[in-house]
Amino acid sequence: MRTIACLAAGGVAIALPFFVGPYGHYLLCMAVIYAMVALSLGLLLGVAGQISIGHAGFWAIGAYTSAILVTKVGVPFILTLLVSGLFAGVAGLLVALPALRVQGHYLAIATLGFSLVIVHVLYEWDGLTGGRQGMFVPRPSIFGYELMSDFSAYFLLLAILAVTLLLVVNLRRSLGGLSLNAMRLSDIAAQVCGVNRATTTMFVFALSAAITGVSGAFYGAVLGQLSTDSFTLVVSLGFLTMVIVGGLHSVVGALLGGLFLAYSPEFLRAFEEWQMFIYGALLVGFMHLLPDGLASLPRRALRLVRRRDA
Amino acid sequence: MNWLPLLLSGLAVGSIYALIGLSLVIINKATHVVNFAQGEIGMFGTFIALSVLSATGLPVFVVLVLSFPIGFLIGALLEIVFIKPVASGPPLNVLIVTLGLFFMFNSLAGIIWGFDPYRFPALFPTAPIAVGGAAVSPTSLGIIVITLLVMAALYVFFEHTRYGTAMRAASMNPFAARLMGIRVGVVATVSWGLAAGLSVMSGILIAPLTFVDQQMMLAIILKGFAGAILGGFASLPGAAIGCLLLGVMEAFVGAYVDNTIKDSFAFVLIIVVLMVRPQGLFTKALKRKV
Amino acid sequence: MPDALAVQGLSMSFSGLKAVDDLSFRVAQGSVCGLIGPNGAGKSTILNCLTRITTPDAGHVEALGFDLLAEPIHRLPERGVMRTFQNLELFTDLSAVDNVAMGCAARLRAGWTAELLGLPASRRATRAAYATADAALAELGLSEIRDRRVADLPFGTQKQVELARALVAEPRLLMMDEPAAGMNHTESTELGRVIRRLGAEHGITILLVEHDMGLVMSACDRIIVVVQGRLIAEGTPQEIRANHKVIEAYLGEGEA
Repeated sequence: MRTIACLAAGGVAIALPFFVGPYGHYLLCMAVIYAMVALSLGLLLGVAGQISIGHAGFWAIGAYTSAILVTKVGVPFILTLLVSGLFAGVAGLLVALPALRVQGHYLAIATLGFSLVIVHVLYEWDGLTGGRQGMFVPRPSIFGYELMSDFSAYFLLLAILAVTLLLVVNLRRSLGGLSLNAMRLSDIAAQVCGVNRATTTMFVFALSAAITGVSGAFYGAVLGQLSTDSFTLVVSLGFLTMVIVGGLHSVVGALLGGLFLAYSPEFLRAFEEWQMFIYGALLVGFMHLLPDGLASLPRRALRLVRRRDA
Repeated sequence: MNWLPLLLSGLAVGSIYALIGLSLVIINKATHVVNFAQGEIGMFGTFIALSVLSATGLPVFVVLVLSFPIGFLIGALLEIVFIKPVASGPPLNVLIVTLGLFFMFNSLAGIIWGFDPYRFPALFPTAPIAVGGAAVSPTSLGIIVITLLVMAALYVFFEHTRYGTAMRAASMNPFAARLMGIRVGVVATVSWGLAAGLSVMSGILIAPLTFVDQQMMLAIILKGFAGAILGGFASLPGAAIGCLLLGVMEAFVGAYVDNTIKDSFAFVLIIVVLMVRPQGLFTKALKRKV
Repeated sequence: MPDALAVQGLSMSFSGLKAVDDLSFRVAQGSVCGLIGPNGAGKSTILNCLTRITTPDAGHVEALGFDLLAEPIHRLPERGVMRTFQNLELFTDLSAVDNVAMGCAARLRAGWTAELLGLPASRRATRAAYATADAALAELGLSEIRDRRVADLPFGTQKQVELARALVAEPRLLMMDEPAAGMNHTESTELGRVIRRLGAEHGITILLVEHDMGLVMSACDRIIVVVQGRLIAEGTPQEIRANHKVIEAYLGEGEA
């Protein structure tokens, strides 16, 4: 049953681009890029119970690392994905270093400060990043072939998303995933059961940041240009909104979240000024009414039906 | 004597941080979350004050005094409408709601008042006065004095009034507080009110120095965090002193080292303090009870 | 018989108030030792010090041959030290079997890399942990509630789940903080039987903090009495029952 659902979802994902135009391809690419961020945030927030309001910072590190390596050093795009993930992961590790000493929501503040500093540094370092003008980024490429259209880039993205998905699902189902869940629900009991809170927190931060970094590398390449405006606090908060709307506690939620963040600007275009307000209202509304997000709707509906039968 | 003006302007900026830092700590004590919307509430209140000012032509000082009750109402209402219904869930949910409020206020301010910065009338004379051979800004002195008065009032409230003592008891031991006949739910509402009142005051105090716009409190709330963590997030006096210290350090770093690293300084400080002395400089380590 | 636990000069104070005052005692290997005292005697603080949840101001603790205070909290299970909590510290949102599996997760885990890649080692570890958890649940007669969310279970059952979680860690020294709180007479009698069996059959040393005197008197080999953080008596249940100081301490509580 589960396998069938997975195969069906995969089939739909592969078939979709054949039914939409070039702009649709671009949106699909964005949805996959955001879905990767949502996966990483879901792991951090939904499983480990750690909040980050600075994921745009890790995203930026991934994006600029890849863009600079491709344009200034000539490294193949695919290889830069690894380096982007690595750099962002190390940054995540550094931001989570205080976990050695503190617990609670202090790390959230560290992530906020970190993302502001990263944008500041990228802005000032204009020799490397183009500063306020930004920089152009070549298309994604694989084995020397440039993926000129978003149609072709989409399939590469899908493949990387599948790999990420596999890693995240493996982790969630393992004893390590169980330990992360345990830490979220009672850090004292988790430690009594042998979970090293500090290293576990640092690991999950690093992993989450790394996945977001890889996503960032794609973001720059698909967009074709980078400027620090793409990595503001608002972007971090948008990321948060998408995981809450999609659903924190499941992989399906992350995918829904990605779709949401990619397509919502299309629907909200008429109310552009209101976009941020709506994101905020969604965060508040979902926390009040549907804290487990859209992904929990089928289960809720099922429970309602059952109650009526009983 | 060129360190005196620098010290005073550092203390003045630190005072602004302290008001925000104190409001963060007050809410954290009552509801065990960090309220990320704190700065935006201050910004929104400042806009309201500006509107009142231009609509009524009241003296600026009257508006400054009025700002506290206005802020208190906003804060208390927010707590009742948005926080209370999720307060029994995981703390993370409350935290996320405050982030949502951050978004909503930030964008609402832009929608109502536009995205261009406004000027806020000066609260104090602008001509520097000579103190011991150095030119000192009356604005700095004014901000420091007002903040000290507010802190003294807070001290009296928490230490010497029945309700203030009860609030402290409630944050330490909700069960005992209930035995004393204190409604913990009301304490949370009052805490949000107090905190919002302080934040609006800090917004109005800083507004004449910067401008009034939607982003005005973004850096300030981060500094408020940093200062409060530096001094000790668990204690009000610790947090206030930490914020003042941060303001002074920033002023000197900006003057003698490099002005562009001033903002990053606060962030690096957060990480370093969390690493080296997570309980802050002035408080003892606290651990959760089991 | 060697000691499983040797506490020397343990002291701990909170804002000037001494919760534990120069406390020393020993617990022989394989024995069941009761730690009793009136409310506020500092029993929970002692247990928190002995399980590294709080760090005492002074003292030395040797447990199972190692320096306990030198180890971080998360290293205790692999050293053979485990505990349960007075007010329960369960993973409320997880199922009973998940909770119990956590007891042996740290010991069996294959490491982050294997888990991310879904290597056979990781799958084997997961299977082993859940098999162990299932066996422990079955032994306590809890197989039926295996997949229930622990927060939805009755308090007594939650206590049993917590005990199962501690046992699958295969501890050699188990510290229990008021395991009988909230239990009725039949349940606490049964608990007493379980505790005796753990000591006798599995050789687990047990330090038992408990208010239920019936349970303490029937289950313990020796009893330590603490009042205001200080040791006032130590001996067999018979000796404690006849000890004047102990009776006075408890009478004082009754009057208050």
